[in-house]
Amino acid sequence: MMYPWYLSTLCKRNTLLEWFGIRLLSFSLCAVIIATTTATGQESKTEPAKADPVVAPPSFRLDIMPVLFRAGCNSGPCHGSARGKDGYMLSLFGYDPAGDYRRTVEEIPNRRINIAVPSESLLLLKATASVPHTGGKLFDTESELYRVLLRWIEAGAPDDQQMNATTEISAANNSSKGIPEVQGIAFSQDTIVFDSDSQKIGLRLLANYSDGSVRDVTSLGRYFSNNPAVSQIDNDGIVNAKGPGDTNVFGRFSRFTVGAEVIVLPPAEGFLWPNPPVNNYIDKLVFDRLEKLRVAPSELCDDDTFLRRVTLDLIGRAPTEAEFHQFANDTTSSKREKLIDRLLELDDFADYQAALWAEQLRVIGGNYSTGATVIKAADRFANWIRDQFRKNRPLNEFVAEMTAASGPNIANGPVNLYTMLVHKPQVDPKMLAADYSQVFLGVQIQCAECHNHPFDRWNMDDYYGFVSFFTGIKRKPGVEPREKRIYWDTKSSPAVNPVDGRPRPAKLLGVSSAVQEPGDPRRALAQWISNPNNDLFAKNIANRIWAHLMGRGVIEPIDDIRVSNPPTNAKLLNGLSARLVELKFDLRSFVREICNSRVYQLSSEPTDSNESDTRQFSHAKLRRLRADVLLDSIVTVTGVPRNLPEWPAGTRAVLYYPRVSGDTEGPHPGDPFFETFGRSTRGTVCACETKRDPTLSQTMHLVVGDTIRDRLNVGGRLQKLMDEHRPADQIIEQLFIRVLSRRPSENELNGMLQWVKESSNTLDVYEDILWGMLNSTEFLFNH
Amino acid sequence: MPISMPRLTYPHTYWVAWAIAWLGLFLWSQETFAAQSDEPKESLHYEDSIAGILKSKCGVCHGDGKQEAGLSLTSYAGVIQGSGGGKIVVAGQSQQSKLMEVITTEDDSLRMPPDGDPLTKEQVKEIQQWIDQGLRENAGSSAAQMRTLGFVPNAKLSSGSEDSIPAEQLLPKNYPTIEAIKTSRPFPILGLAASPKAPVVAASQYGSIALFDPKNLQSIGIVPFAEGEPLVLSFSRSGRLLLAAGGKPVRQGSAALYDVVTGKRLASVGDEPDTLQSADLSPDERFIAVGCTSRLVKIFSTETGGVTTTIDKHTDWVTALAYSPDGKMLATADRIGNIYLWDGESGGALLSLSAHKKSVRSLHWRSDSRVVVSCGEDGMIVWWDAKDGWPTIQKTDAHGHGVLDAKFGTQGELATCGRDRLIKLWSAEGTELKRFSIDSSLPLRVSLTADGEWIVAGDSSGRLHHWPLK
Repeated sequence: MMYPWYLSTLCKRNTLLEWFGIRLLSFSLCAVIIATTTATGQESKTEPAKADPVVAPPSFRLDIMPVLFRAGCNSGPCHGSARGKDGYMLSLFGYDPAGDYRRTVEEIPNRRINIAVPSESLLLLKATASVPHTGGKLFDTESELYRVLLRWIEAGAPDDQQMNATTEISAANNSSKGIPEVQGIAFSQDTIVFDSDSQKIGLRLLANYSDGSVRDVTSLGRYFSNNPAVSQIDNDGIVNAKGPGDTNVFGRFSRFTVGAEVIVLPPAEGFLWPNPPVNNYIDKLVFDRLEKLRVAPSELCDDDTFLRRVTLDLIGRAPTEAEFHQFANDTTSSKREKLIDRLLELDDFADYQAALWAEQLRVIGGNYSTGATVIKAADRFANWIRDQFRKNRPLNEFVAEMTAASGPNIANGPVNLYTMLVHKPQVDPKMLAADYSQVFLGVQIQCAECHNHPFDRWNMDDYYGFVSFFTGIKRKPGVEPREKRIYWDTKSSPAVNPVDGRPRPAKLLGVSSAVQEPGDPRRALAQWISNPNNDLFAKNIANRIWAHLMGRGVIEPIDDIRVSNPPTNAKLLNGLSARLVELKFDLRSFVREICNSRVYQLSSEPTDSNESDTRQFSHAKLRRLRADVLLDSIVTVTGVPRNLPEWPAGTRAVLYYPRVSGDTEGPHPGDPFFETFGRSTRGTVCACETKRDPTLSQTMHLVVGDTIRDRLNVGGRLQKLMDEHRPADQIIEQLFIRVLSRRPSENELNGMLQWVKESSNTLDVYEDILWGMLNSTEFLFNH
Repeated sequence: MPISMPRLTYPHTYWVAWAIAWLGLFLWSQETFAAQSDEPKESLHYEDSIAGILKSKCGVCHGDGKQEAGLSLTSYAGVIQGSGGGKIVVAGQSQQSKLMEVITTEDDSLRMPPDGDPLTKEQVKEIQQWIDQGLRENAGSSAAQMRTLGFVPNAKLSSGSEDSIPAEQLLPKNYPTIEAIKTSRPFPILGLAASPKAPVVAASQYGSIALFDPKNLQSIGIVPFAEGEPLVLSFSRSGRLLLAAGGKPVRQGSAALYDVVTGKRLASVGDEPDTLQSADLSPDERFIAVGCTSRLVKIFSTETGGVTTTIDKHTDWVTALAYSPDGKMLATADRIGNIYLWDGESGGALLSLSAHKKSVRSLHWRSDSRVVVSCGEDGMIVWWDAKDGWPTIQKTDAHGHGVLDAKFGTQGELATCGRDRLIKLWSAEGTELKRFSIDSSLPLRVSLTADGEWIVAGDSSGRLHHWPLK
């Protein structure tokens, strides 16, 4: 008879409490040492807490799984791969301890684990590279990892289930389940501020268990830094300052990831905080952060730049000549506020926002679509979205209505969330769950389909519980031939977690119990998503709006929010999110405050201290115009329209979505110009579908392509100017105002006047000037 | 023989001298052959020792440019490949090697090289040692398969007279006493086999094999298996021999044959880099087939120790294999559930049997060679008709979480064990007749005794269990 691991073979009494007592004691020792360590301090070395070998043979879940994790055995490229490696499979980062026990101990009797001759266990021989091992040597026989494994094998390689057998122990353990589980992990410090590079400090990684105990797992964690150029972290949790900046280092243990912020300050000498004026809460949050980092924000941008920036951002095109003059002629101090108000009241603002959402929701229409993405449905959906924004519907209600929608998709716009979000002939609950979560929560929960999310808190139960919100969605033919009726099938069964084969009823993310109400669980989902307390939703929406206006999210990429991708300024994101809730998800009010902040209005011209900053909004980010905004701007400044396939003449490019007369054969940009300039093909919900990178083909297209060539002088503005027989300096000035929303400098004007004077064909010169302006980065970028 | 013709004209005196020399050489060679087995041999390699001799003495005629008799002796591969007439060296058997014959023969007309001085005694000795040590190419290569201990296969089998040997004459007698190696816990019973003729059961231990009386589970002898863990045990159809195969994971794998009565090791084959996963002795005792983690099936000759056939059809570990009792077929199976039937003589492919979704754990033939049973980790047992590969009986959930072993008794009944910790007895028609359970440990192997009176199982805690059936 083998004794369970927690029973002392020497004295037959319950020693579990003693064991945890030992761990707790070690933890308090660590805490004392950490408390005495200063930020500039040396690393502190304490022995990690471990159980007395006589008292407690190692437990598979508590002690052995962490070894497999720490040594990297269960990582993705090794045995954690979906099909294992060289015949031996472990669950990725240990999401399935029971399966790992079976595969390690029982699958091939006596091979990987040899309890009769423990040191001959293949697990040990491989890990120490005593026999050929593809993964090489992971530790040596002197290491603690080896000793723990050996002790466990010497104890008979027991599984933890044996614990349930003895009720006496379960009672003492305060847990009916038996083995305590890790419930969370924490670093000994959340924030580290280094005064200069080449300093270092030791972090301790602490795990909280379900029985209330805390264990120092520093020697069992895995660590990484988001930016090794700023700070590195080694295998022992020692954080090293490398260069000025801010980043996060992470520790991982069990299924958890935890981060600590690391700030490496530039030298204080020569830095003077300029103390810029503060317009609203946003400025305070951003400037507090900048002051802490010893980074000075840039100056306010000039009026011309502001006009162009805010017009492009809010209504998706360059300002017109009239808009320029209206703004330039306003001499009041509140002229910028008034401009923002004016733009927000335009239908163009609502339509542009609606179009951005339609793009995100993958609206696309075809005549003969195999799915349900017919043109009529696409139009109905796009019009419904536009109406919501025109009447400034609160964003949470907008999403909630779509979430709970049922009915025929040509008659009922919002139900097309379930036809457009995932283009497929059949409803795909897994993809719906993944895309819904990515768009509305910014969370890529699909990582947890096959294993617990390696870098976030979501596990497979969370994923399959979330999928169950969509497993009942069905389509049946509607009234019209191509219409589909979307309904919830109450006879549907929930998604099944493949690890244990048990169904997981619909469960909201971050909520411990499943939805209780019978019937369509999407009602609960709609209530939850629109609830002001739903931090995930509010943060995601606030971050998306911020990213649109600033060119970068506080979390970037905007649709990959996870523990290991934290906000660059957590207080700012919290502040924005809280404000959005306070404003009851009123888009216009929220945008108005951002645009009125000094931060939004900063110049793109960097200061000495903020030149290298790309994360803290210390200066305006240069952004190449979106493909559709660029096309609309070219049309606006040249006055020559550009028709789009399958749309009425004069339709704005930002409002365009692909409408195909034939079958909707997969994602496509719809127009060659869009393809060249990276407009989203609506192939996926990923925000990365919209590309902003410059390419050579873009340059070539603008230099010699038909978009600009055909608009230089085909009955456009230029011809009109010529017809009015204005003096050359006026024509040049007007061209500057039209294209670049500013007046020319004296140098520019004089140089160009010289060309005009020297030329026999003045129209050619003006065309060249216009052509040059349209090809300039000043025009192509929002600055 | 135009070259040798002139030599016939030598005077008789010369012949006498030759006869004396011949006798001398014979005596010397007897001496050296006797001596070499005792003296500690230094390891000889082709590259260091043999290449120089063969190149200088033979390279002109058997070289890259000119290859008399299709033989090249200037490369290792050429030496091993042999001439148009066949192999010239047999690993471990200098006496059987043509090369030794032609360099040592006294017949002047046959001895090589035909011109020039014969090889010196030292050179001959080196070549002889090199062959006997297993034809190593260089210091890094392992010895080729060697014949050991002069095993002679049982030639009487076909006459049927074997059946007349009384069971008591097939029992272990007076085994030398050896100590089983102490392990920190009892070694799991990875291999278990019952003699088809006599009341004796073999079970694996660490570094040895213990033989038991199935009635009382009393030990009646232990034989050493120094290669490590005997993973596979099986008796010959005659009950005269015991085959053990195994090794040490990712270090060593080989198989050995023992005389059941005396406990003597008769032969050993294989020098594989990993534990052998499966093995069986052909009914005529001329071949040992082994299944390797390298995905190969290798068939060794028990007479020469050399590999006669290699089967590379499997795409994963070869976890089970068995010869049909009539020797006409060989069944092999692997870790992903594929089973193949091969011609037992030629090794040609006959049938592919597919049913298992996971690793096949065991293959066993019914005594009439008409049915082979397979069992696997998918919990399934299949009785296959060997004639056409039809799954006559299929038990899909025979043992929950996997079947670990399946063995026929002499009357066509079947014993199985599985991860549900049950041992089951099935009728020839596939009806479950009896079940037995053990606690806490996994029954890894099961066997039925020759008289059909006992079902014996070995578990993962190293314990043997038995239940009477009558």
